[in-house]
Amino acid sequence: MINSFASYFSFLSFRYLAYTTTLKSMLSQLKSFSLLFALVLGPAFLGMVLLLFLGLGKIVDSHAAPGYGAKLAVVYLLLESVMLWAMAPAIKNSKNRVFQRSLYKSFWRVCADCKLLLLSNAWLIASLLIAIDLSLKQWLQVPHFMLFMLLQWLCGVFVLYRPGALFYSLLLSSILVLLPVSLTSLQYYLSFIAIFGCSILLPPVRISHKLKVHSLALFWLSYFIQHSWSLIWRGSVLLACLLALLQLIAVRNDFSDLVLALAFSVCVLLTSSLQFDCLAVFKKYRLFFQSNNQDKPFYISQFLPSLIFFAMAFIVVISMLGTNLIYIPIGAVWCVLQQYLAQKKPAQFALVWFFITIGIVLLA
Amino acid sequence: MIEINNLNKRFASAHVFENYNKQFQGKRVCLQAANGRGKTTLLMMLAGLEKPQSGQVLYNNQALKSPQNIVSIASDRIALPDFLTARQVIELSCKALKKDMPEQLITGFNFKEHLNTRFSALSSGNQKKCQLITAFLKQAPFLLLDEPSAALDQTSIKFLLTLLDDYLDDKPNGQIIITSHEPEVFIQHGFECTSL
Repeated sequence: MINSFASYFSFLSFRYLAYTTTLKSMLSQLKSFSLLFALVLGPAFLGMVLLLFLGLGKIVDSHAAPGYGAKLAVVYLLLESVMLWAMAPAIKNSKNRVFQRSLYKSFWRVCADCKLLLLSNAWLIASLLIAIDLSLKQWLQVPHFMLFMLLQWLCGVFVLYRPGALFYSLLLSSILVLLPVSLTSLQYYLSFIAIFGCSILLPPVRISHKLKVHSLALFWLSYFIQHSWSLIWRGSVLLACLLALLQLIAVRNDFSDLVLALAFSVCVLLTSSLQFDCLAVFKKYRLFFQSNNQDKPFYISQFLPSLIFFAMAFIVVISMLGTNLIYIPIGAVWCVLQQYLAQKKPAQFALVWFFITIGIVLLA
Repeated sequence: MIEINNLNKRFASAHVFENYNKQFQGKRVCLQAANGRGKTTLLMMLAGLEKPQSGQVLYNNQALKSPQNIVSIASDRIALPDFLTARQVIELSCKALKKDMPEQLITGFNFKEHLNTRFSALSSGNQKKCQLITAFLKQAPFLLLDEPSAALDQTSIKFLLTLLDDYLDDKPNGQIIITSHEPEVFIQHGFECTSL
């Protein structure tokens, strides 16, 4: 028994070490954004934490506007999933998963996964802090918040073990909150739970295997179908930013020009940073295409995904916030410039974006 | 015939080739050297996929700017798109090279049942078959194969040898260069062994 405990604790310490090592290596990959984080996110960190709690407060107290609370909850779940998705290799220690299977009991593995999942889930921890602060009477008034925390936990579990089901869950939940129906908060969250439960039963979609990959465009399409999270997280962050900015416009309409400029620069940042992913794909498969005499077309094609993504994101920005026409040519040129920097001078990518953003905000 | 003159290639401070000269005389050559001596690097340079620091490679006495037009190569160093199925990888090559789907190669290597498997999920032997199919598909005069028999089953090795036997029939100025740590079977099929 003592030996078993000792083995379990040594397994846990191995998993914790693997977790911290992987996180450090992931953070080192973000060095091109380090200046951006230092300049922008550093001072805004406290504000972001407060915003997180403010949003949770709206979810807790959503009796007056249950639809709005449900929308906010879906955005929260989406952002939480994106963050956990990025951390999943560290949480699961994916690199050594087979090694873990060969040595340890599966129960230990799941226990370690759950502990690290909870440790990584800042969104759920924030909800737990609010939950602890509530009295029993308040608890009885907001039973939906318990369900929301359950959904937050399920999101993490799905990210680790059922990513396909997570896709269905978030998609169907988004559709539900956009439907013109009148539900109470509790009904909304019970529906979300039902959607999450049913999503496990839905078969995974494998569209990309049926594609005939006859061209470079289809090669990239196939790549992004299978690596859709790099688009989903960018789309989610953009959507969350736009919703926050819409709220700001609703409160302070005199800020609308400034908000539009900010939305526009976030759109350029998120879409042009896709070039980092495309560059990695280009480097990996360059020799294959070169051996097929397609080196030049493949080189050019790597710039198309982020340009197309920019065009689509820009349409979303226009449809939600409206636009000043001057932003269309500026956006296209700026996106190409950021792509060039991602390709040739990644260390300057964030810095240039930051100074252009300052310039545009000042002009607005 | 391929001829190499004063080739220099180094990775960081490690010199892999220093003023290296070599002439591959035979039509079928099996290159031999210990691990890490630069066999794969040499094949990659001959295929025009890696650049030497200096030196010259002549193909039938001609220096070429884009040798990949007349050279076909199969090597583990060339990463095939592992998120695609084997069929999609072959289709992509067919489209790029304007060729039809190589049904004969697929059947010969017993590869039909693996066509719909994602490349990353294929066994090492089947990944090797996929590399060989895309290399043979090109039908370039110069064929470079890096460890072609490694991980292949006996039936596939036999099929590979029949392909190699016939490959140069319609390529009078062509040449096949392979690397192998088990050259006996290739020697029986007319390959000359040469050290690096």
